[in-house]
Formats: sequence, structure tokens, C-alpha cells
Amino acid sequence: MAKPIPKVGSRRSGRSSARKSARRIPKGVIHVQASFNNTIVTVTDVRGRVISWSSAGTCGFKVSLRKKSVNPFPLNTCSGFCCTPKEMVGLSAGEKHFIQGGIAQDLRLDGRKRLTYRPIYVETGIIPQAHGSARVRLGATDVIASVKAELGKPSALQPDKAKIAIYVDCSPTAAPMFEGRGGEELSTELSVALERCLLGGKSGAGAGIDPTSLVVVEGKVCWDLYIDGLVISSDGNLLDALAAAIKAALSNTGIPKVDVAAEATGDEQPEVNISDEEFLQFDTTGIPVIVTLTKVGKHYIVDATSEEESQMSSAVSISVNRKGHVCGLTKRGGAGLDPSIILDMISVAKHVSEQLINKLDSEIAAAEASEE
Amino acid sequence: MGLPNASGDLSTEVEVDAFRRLFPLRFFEKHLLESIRPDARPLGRARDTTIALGAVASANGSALAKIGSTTMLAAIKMEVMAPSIEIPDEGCIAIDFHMPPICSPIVRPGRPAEAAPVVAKQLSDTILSSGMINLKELSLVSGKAAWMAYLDIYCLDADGALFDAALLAAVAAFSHLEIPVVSLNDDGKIVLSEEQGLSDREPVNKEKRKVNLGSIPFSLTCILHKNYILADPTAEEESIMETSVTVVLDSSSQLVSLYKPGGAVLAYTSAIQDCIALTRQRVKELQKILEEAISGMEVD
Amino acid sequence: MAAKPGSVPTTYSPNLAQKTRPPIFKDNDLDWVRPDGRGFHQCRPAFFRTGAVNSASGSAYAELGNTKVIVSVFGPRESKKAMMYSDTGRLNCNVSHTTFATPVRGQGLDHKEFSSMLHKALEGAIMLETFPKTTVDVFALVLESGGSDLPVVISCASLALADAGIMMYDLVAAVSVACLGKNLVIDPILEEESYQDGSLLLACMPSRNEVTQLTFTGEWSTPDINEAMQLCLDACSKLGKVMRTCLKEAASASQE
Repeated sequence: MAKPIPKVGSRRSGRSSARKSARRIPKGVIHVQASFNNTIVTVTDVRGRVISWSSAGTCGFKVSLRKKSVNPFPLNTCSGFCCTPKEMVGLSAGEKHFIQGGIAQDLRLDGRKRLTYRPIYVETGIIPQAHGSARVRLGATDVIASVKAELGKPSALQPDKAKIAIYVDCSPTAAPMFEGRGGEELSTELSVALERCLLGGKSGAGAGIDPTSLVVVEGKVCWDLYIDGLVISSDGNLLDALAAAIKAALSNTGIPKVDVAAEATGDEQPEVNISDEEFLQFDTTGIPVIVTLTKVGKHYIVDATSEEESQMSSAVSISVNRKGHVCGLTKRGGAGLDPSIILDMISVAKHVSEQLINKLDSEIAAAEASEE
Repeated sequence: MGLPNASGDLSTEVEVDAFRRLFPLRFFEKHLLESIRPDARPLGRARDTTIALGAVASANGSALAKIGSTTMLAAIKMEVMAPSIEIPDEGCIAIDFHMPPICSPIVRPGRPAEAAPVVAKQLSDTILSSGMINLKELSLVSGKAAWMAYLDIYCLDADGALFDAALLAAVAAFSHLEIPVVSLNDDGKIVLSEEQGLSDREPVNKEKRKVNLGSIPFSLTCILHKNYILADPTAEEESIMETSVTVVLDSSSQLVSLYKPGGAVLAYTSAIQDCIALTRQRVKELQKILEEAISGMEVD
Repeated sequence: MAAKPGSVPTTYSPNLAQKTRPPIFKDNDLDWVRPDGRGFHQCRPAFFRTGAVNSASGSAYAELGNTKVIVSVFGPRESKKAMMYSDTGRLNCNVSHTTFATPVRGQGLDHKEFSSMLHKALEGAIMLETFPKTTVDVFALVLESGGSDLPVVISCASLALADAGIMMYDLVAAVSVACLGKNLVIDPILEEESYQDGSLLLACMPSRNEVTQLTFTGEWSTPDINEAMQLCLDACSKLGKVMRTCLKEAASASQE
């Protein structure tokens, strides 16, 4: 049925070699030969005749596994947070084996142990217009959080609570797939996970940020908090980085002091004076940190890079406060987990969180000091 | 349909299901010659119809109507509004028809079905013009407060004759509607009498607990194909034969609306009259089914 | 006058939902009874039925108390054109509510959070490699929300998948627990959910004893976590049996 496809440059289509684009091949086969040292892509027609080929070596990629410099092709799928592990492209079988083997031997690609974080760098006060802001870097993962407070009215259903909204945006600079609406799913997922971990239950119990402390006049005036997170560069473990950035941003936040100038009766809103000089500081000691344990093979690791995340079977993000209480938990990744493993992960997370909280607190203090 | 002349021979050779998929029109026409339909109905017979009242507890009135496997869930929620200045003593009815993605393989999330707005418009035209509900009955305090009845109809399973099922569900929901007893509180708002401890206060709507339904509209959709008239088509029949006529009659057999959206078959007046005659029979059936559903509720 | 779209006047519900938390929770009153008279560790009776929607490949209806849910499964069918090639199947989930599902009239919009949670809960149970290049769509509609909506949606969806003949390792049963003061209350209703201090949702494959989805909100201590998870696991295995019976009945009915 199918007509034979004329060969490139054959006599029958003599001119087509001069105008390659004019020829149409309805079906083709792409052969990929991936080795440790090179990747060769060959495009053929259905009969196996080569139409064109290209190799990563000629494209200028220098591949070195040990140095973990560049992958055969850039990792342009997202952090692995939203996509299923096996969808991750760009890792050869050897590299996958290397990552998994390293984790099993408690020696990861970058020399860390399974339960060691990458160094955390914190900068505070980076956005002058916001009431509080911070930037947190974990290796190549780079996120910014900002806090904005606005005077608002508490809802009729909960007159003693202020509204706190957390919204995360994934910048297209972090990964090409975040362009347009591509990052939407990940953004929602991160926002929901952060809200779950930081804002506590519906009654407000166990919340890291106490919504009652933001109320100026009950049922009338309160400070509504808008917390925005921005992912600038993504190399795994976004949730932990965002939670740390929010904690740092909140400790950097100063909310203007408000005096009630005139008491109002009935439905009217009372008049308030907003002070320009006096600021209230947040008590951030109760704000939990999030520890994400990523399960690769039989073991779990903290602070996974995106390459390591691509190999995960599942991950559990646990938010722990200073008292060692679990304030929220989100499971990611499809594979099922045995309940006893989850309990074990929780206890490991608690142990890791102590170090993380201390480290983060000292980094925040140092950042605050350098700002002044 | 690449080989039209071959189909006659094939019909004896291939399996029934394969023939049905390959030559749907021929498959149906072979049935029509015998005056029967693939689901064993005569041409003028509608599918089995059931109504269940009070399916949704969180609504003021609700009903589930099934015609064959087409399923519609209608629910009414009553809210209070300030009536417009021009008509201070009338309430309002807002009708919406939804086709969520669960109802049919064609509908996908984020892309609403093409049929949904068409049916919604037809429904609100029919219900509001039939005079079934006197909007003055929905007034609470003239010029201050009136009821807004939000009627939402969800298609749970789409298998043809969507409008008929939706109208039936809507009508049944109205007959199940029970208006809550409300009174005026100190802030000038209408609140439920019982919950706010105002039961000693005079309710605003003591008598009007039920809406009086005037003449109730019922409908029947027929497919016109060549000289045949097929009542109450399934989704498969609708997709193969495109000309349809929807007749809406009220309980005293007056014509409320007649709807023939184009189509390949140009109907003779006699065909339309046949459709109306079929609808007249159907109205009697539907009336009986609705009455049974209502009396069934009262026994409980 | 008919309401014209866009010019609908603002309305309010006469049912002022100003429910305050019953004072009884403040002291740990153990005599307190749940609004529907259940014991603390007692689930609502569950009703499941498969084949609720004829035009879908598989479907199920679930009813627990006032929570009523329909789930339809379509496919496996061709993936959208824009999708890249994939040698495993894709799962696409969508959860929406009717406008009359909640006590206050809603907008009936898609529930993105539920959609992604449902996706995660089911993903681990489905053998995606059995339908390469295609998509299975799982659409859920909450007809009436009476509390514990998401767990009911998850259980119902796994039943609908089974009805559609999608290969799975096991059914997924889900249950949630609410923490009220110091009490753990299983399968909370809407009223209990509105004043809970914390909640835990667990979805698992009962016969494999594997957890596919787990979330906590609120502050939990380790003994509480252990207790709540055990409660959920026990309830899930019971729920799994109910779901299994439902499937068996449907299968034996179709054989006759």
C-alpha cells in the first residue's frame, strides 16, 4: 500500500537533495544509542535507511559521569516532584545504577551521606517592598519567599482568625517546562503541601503561624498575610527549601503596630492608625521545618537532588516543629509503602529536623546580623 | 462507508456487533423495516422512566429522573435576594444545566459539552414560559426580600433525550421543593426561624411552604428519519439520525414549545402532528409516574 | 422575570452558618456523643454499587451517610495529541463538586487539590505498564458533601477502575480520622470536620498492607500517629471487604 520512499539524493528525485525540506516522509524511526561516553541519535525511514544522524559528542556535550558535570542531554523535565520517576529522561542505565548503588553504600554522588543536607545559605530582606523576605539556597535549588501583610476583615465564620494564604510560583527560569501553564500543577501541589504543613488543622490547632495573633479588633480588623514563594532554580527538594525560606522570611517580617483610633459601633469599621516606626516581630520559634525523605531502593535520603528524585519510588514530606511534634505530612510518588516504614521515616525525620532547625536558626540569625 | 454496495452481502457474514459499528445506518434501517428498534422497543415507545424524590439532603428540593439509562439529578437551593425595583413583589428562578465529565466520554474537564448551553437555554425558556410557577409566590417582603430559587440540573449519564430527562427532573424537583420557614431578624435579614431562636416571632411565610405548580410541562423528543418517527432516542440513535423534534406539552395538552433545530429531514405538518400525538400519550405516562413518586413520598 | 446571566443579584442563604465549636470539647468529656450517634471508632455504613453510568467504561456510586459520590472511568483511550510518547499508561484524575453539594451554594468548580490527591492515591495501585501510550481518565463528581469526601472519592474510584477492567494490584480503600481535642474520631462528618484540630487521611491496599497516600494536618505526637494509623488500617481492611463483596455481587449478577 505504502509508496516506496525515494532515497535522499537518488536520481529519481534529483532536485530534492538541494531542497531537503521539500521532501515529506510520513513515518520514520528514531534510533538512540546511548552509552556511557556518548549518545548517538539516528533518524531513518521505516525501512531503516538513514535520513540523518547526530551525536552528542559533535554537539559539544562532554560527558563525565564521575564529575557529574553535564548529562547527555539537559535535564529539562521538572524536579521530579510532579512527574512519575520513570518519565525522567536523560539518565543512562549506568548513571541510574550509579546513583542507586551510591545511596545503598551511604555515599551519594556529591559525597554526602544519606541523611546529610546540602549546605544551606540564607539571605534575608532581599525584597524591600515586602514586609519580609528571604532567599534560601540548597545546592543548585534556589527559592525566594516574601511576606506581605494587608489590613483586612476576618471572615464572619471565624471572627478571631486572620487569613493566611500561601502561593508558590515556579519560574520558567527554573525549567523550560514551567513556561506558560506548565508549572501550574507543581505550584498548586507545593502550595497545598505548605499550607497543610504550616497552617495546622481547621480549628487552627498546631499551626506554625498563629492566626489569632494577627487580629487587631476581633471580627473587624486583622492583618491578612500573603506568603509568596518563587522557585528560581530547581535541583530537587523544593518543598524543604520553600519551607525554610518562609520561616526565614517570617522571622524577617515586621508588621506595623496598629492603634485603634476610634471605637466603632455596629457594623462600621473602626478607624485605625498604622504606625510607621514601631514594628511587631513574629515569633517564629513555633514554625516547623519540612524534612522530605526520598526513598530510593531500600533506603531513604534527605535533600535529594533532581537526579536522585528521578530514581525515587516514593517520598514523604514531614513537617516537624521544635517540640518534636509532627505538624503535617504529605506523601508523594506513587509506590505504596509499608505502614511500619512510614513510622520509621517519621522518627528519622524527627531526628534530622533537630539538626536542621538549629542550622537554619543560626543561618537566619547570621543573615539578619549581616543585613544590619 | 468505503464499500457501500458490499454491506448487503456482509450483513450475513460478519457478526452483529461488527456490522453495527461498520454500517450503523444500515443496521438501523434494517430494524426500522421490521418496525422495531435495536433495544426491542416499537418505534413510538419511550424507555422505562423512573423518578426518585429527595435525592440530595443538602438541597431544599431535589429529584433524580431516569429515562432508560439517561440520568438527571436536579436540586433546588433557596436563597434570599433583594428584588429589583421594577418588579418588587416577584422572586426569581435561576436555571443551570451541567454536563460534568462523568456523564459521557465526549466531555472532558475544562471543555464544556456543546449540548449543555443549548439544553440550559431550552430548559429555562420552557420552565419560565410555561407558567408552571407563579413568581409572585416567591416574594417574601414586598420590595425588600424575595426568594431566588437556584435550580441546578446535573447530567449523570448521557444516553440521548437529554432535554426530556432534564425537564422531568426539574419538574419533579419543584414538586418536592419545601420552602423553609423564615423570619426577619433584627438586622433586617431573613433567617431560618428555628435555628436563630426566633420561633416566637411571626414567620414571614407562614402558608407558603410549597410552591403551587400550575400546568406542568412535559416533553418528548422524536427522531425523524425518512418516513419513520422514533420516540425517545438513545445517544446512538441521535448520533446516526440527526433530525430531531422536541415537543413540550403541559398537563392540559396545550403546546408550550416546539423545537426543531434544522436537520436533514424536512418535516411535513403531518409528521409534526404525529409527534404531538406521541407526546400527548407520553404526557399521560409521565404524569402518572410523577404522581406515583409524589404519593410514594407522602407515605414515607 | 428570568435571571439573566451576569445580572444575577447577590443572594444569601437564610441558613446562617455560624456554628461555634461545642463547648463540650474544651474539657475532655468522654460522655460526649457524636452528632449521628456513632461510636468514636465506628465508621458510617458504606454502600457501594458499580455500573452507575452506562456510557462510561466503568463506574461506581458510593454513599456513606450524606456523602454521595459518583466516579466514572473512561479508557484506556488515546492520549491527547500534545502528550509525549510514553511506554506506560497515564492516569488523569478530576474531582468536582455539584453546586448544591455543600450547605452554602458553591460554584461547582474543579477541585484541584482533591484531583492531585486522588491521582497519587491510585497511581501506586494501577499497573500502568499494561496500557502503554494511552490514558485512563478517572472523573469524580461529589453529589453531596457530608464529610470525609476525599476518602470516599478514592475508594469509589478504585471500585470504578475495577469495574472498567483496569489492571490493579489491589483495590484502594481510604479512611480519614479527625482529632477533636484528645479524641480520635474516625470517618468524620462535615460538622466534625469543621472544628477538627487535626486530620489524617490514609489510603491503602488492604491485602498488600501498603499505604498509597497519607496526609496529616495539625499537630500530632508519636503515640497519636500510631493509634490513628492503626485505626485507619483496620477500617480500610473492613472497607476493602465491603468493596470486594460489591464487586463479587456485580460479577455474579452479570453471569446469570
